[in-house]
Amino acid sequence: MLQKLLFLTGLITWCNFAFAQTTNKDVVCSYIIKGNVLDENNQNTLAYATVFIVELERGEQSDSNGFFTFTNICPDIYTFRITHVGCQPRDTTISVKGNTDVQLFLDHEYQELIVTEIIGNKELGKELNIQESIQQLHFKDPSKDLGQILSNISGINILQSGTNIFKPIIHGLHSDRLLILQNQVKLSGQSWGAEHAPEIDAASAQSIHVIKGAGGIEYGTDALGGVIVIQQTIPDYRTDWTGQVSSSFNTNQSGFATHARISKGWVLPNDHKMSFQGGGTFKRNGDARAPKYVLSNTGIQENNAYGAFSYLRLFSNLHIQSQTFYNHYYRKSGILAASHIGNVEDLQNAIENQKPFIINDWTYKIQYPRQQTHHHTFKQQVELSAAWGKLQLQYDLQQDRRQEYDLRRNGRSEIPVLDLKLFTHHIATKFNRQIRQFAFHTGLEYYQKDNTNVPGTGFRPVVPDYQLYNVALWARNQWKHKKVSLESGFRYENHQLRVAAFNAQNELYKPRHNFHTFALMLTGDIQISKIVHFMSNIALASRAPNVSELYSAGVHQSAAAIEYGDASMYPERSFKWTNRIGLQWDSKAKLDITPYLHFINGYIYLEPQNEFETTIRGSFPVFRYQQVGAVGIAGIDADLVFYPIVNLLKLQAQYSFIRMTDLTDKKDLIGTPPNQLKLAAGLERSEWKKLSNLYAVLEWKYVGEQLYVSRTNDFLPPPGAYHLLSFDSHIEWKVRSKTMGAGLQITNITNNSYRDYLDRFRYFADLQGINLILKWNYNF
Amino acid sequence: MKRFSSQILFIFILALSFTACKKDDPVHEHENEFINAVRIEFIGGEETKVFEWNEDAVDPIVLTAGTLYQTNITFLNIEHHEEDITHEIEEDGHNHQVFITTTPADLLQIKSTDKDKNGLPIGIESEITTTSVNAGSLRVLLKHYSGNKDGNPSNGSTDVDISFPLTIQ
Repeated sequence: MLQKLLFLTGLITWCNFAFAQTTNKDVVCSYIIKGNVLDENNQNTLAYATVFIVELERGEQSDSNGFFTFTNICPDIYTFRITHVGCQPRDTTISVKGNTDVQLFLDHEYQELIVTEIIGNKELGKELNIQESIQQLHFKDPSKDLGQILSNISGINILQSGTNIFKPIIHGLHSDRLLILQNQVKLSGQSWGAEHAPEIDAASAQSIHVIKGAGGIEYGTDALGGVIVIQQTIPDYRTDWTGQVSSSFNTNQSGFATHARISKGWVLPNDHKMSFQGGGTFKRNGDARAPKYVLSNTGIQENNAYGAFSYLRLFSNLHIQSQTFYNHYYRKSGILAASHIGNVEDLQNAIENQKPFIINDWTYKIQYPRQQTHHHTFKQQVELSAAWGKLQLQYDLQQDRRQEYDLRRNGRSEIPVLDLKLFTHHIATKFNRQIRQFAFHTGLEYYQKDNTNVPGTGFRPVVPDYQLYNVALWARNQWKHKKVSLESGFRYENHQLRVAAFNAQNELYKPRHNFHTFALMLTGDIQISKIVHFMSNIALASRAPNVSELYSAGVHQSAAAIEYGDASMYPERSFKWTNRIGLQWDSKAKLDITPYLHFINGYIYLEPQNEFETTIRGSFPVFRYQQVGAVGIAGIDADLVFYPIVNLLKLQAQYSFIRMTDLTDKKDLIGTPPNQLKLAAGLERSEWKKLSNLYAVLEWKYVGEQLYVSRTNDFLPPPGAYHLLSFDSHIEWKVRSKTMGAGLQITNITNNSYRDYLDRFRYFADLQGINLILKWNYNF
Repeated sequence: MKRFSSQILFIFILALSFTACKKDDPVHEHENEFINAVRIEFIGGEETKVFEWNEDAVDPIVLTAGTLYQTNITFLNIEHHEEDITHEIEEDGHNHQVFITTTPADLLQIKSTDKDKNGLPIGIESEITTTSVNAGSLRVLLKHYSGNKDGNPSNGSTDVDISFPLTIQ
């Protein structure tokens, strides 16, 4: 019995209605698939799981009772991908011959129905709904960056450094105020820098979720802005060799990207089950082209390879699962040549010049300045589950090497100006148990980070060497009754920081810090009526200052500024209240409104000092990391999807608004994302003649001028409003039972010259002009 | 089962073994390519005068009116064995240019005498002629180009930008 429960697909029942039986032999694409999603451990229904038909790129979210419905389905064999935040997504193959009722099982690993995650799950729903099929296609285009994919979600912006370095911003916060999890490993890189993009290959992700609520109890107290969860699926243990290749070519950067993945499962005698998945991504882009000029030195090279092995052994009263995962990410990014400046006068000259000072012939070559990162991730996880609950043990190791090169004399350009090596070890144990309507989870974690400046750069390091020891304890519990769910949780962390730095007189000193941080969370979820759904999340979170905020001292070359840390800073404390009102009118229309209020006490930011320091290289403005008494953030995200003709015409609108204010000094904060509106109209059809999954979408995006920022402390006022028009299309067809797909995407159709307020290089150059992207995929 | 217990044990031992290591002290980086002093030599009127700018002191430049000087600029790292960095600039002359200017602008007549491999001035060596008695300042601006040297002082990135007080008597 247990074996059956734990098995991947579970029970499938066929119900052929009279309707199906009376049709003739022509293909009928009007079947209905109804079903529900259950937790295979205890048969509980899984609310708000997403069921996605891979071949059709159609997704539905299960309702609060775990039920979902697909209409207009043709007879065929489909892969159903079931995802739920915090679970490993799972693929199940179902053959559809008529109207079908299915029961889908998911190993809801932590039995979590944590509602912050359901607020995130809204995004999960988006990812897999028709609205999200646009996003799904970004998965099909392996050239897209994580930041670019995430920016399709309302409330998410990107902090850019030109056309090729993207950092996600959730509800106005980025860098160390967000957490990124890749296959349950918390990404540990040099995330403090605004020009340091997360070391993630988005093409290898099979699902990406965004949690907009703060205080990720299981992940870290420092998730003030939210959590980004990236997962790869565990292949079915019965799968034979299967795989997928997707590629794209773009005209703007004459770039090429390809991603390939293979997987295989084995069921051995005596109930040993194994599976393997491996893949890689290859990406090359030359210089990007703005409408009026080449953006010299903005090419990229990216290679990524990963492998995952899982093993499952079922005993009569115990089930043991082991997962091993390894990933190597490498990226070399050119940085706009014209952004290399000496002092503030050079910056002013660059601003006055309107176009970049350095415009060379187009090339694939990456010269100076540039960044190179290698990121290795290894994870070993073992899980034991039985009637007493589930116990999980995890060890993961990450090594991050970041090298930054700049223009130097005498052949020294090949020596990095910044060379950082960061090792992170993490040991975690988790336990959970469920008794009737009550679920309890707890965990203990240990992190160790070791950051070293590799000697020989000939430059004083921007961040000193340090070691960080972190112990975390968390617990959360959940109660569910009919249409109401409640969840509460807490997390405590202790951070011991040991720094080894040189002072202004070049004497070594070794300060130590000890910080205590915590998170508390309370969430309620209620299905008010068939149409109205309401959710509310209140979270307290706190973040310890990072080493660059404490110990920066010196010239930040790419910002033409002198920056000073402050070693006396204390942790930021935040209170975020996130709400979601969801309205759904059958499959005709859906409206989600997400308002939020956020207060941060002791918010740390780099404040311009209105003073200049003169060095031999000229004068530099001085910035100091400071803590603001109180910062208030208020915003709203709204998403509307409307189907005037189901399975043909779709209209959608997305709006986000945010304001960030320093409440102590009564002024608006620098770097607040401008308001944004997106409107899209699309034709979509699951089947047409021999083609499947057809769609064509035209999107108009409007980004307003940022009026609510302090203008006195910026070298250039925020750029004006701009709009972008883009088009995306895709078709698929079968070749000997394998799926082939092809698509065309055009971005910035009108070839607008524009600059974005959140682009750090807006002082130097315009952003990318028109880009035609051809993409194809083959699933075997 | 037994195999897995030992696997778990192995992982923990592996993990704990990393936590025990002691960290070496960081090495102080010698920033030996940085210019932190500039010397300007004036040869003319039967004498040689040298003026130095560094972060602690600036020599006021005093010149004689109506005199032709041969001038030579030296860029130094005085913190690191008085290292002379001028030769690096000469070798990479096609990507560097020194601009000497004065305030008021007509204090001196300046003509650069050295050329890079493309025939453009480098500006380390010049001929400077003083006119009438006056006072003001002299600015030395060293620009580093990235293959885009065009003689424009607002282009390129700044390696040195300093000013000396200047008196012509």
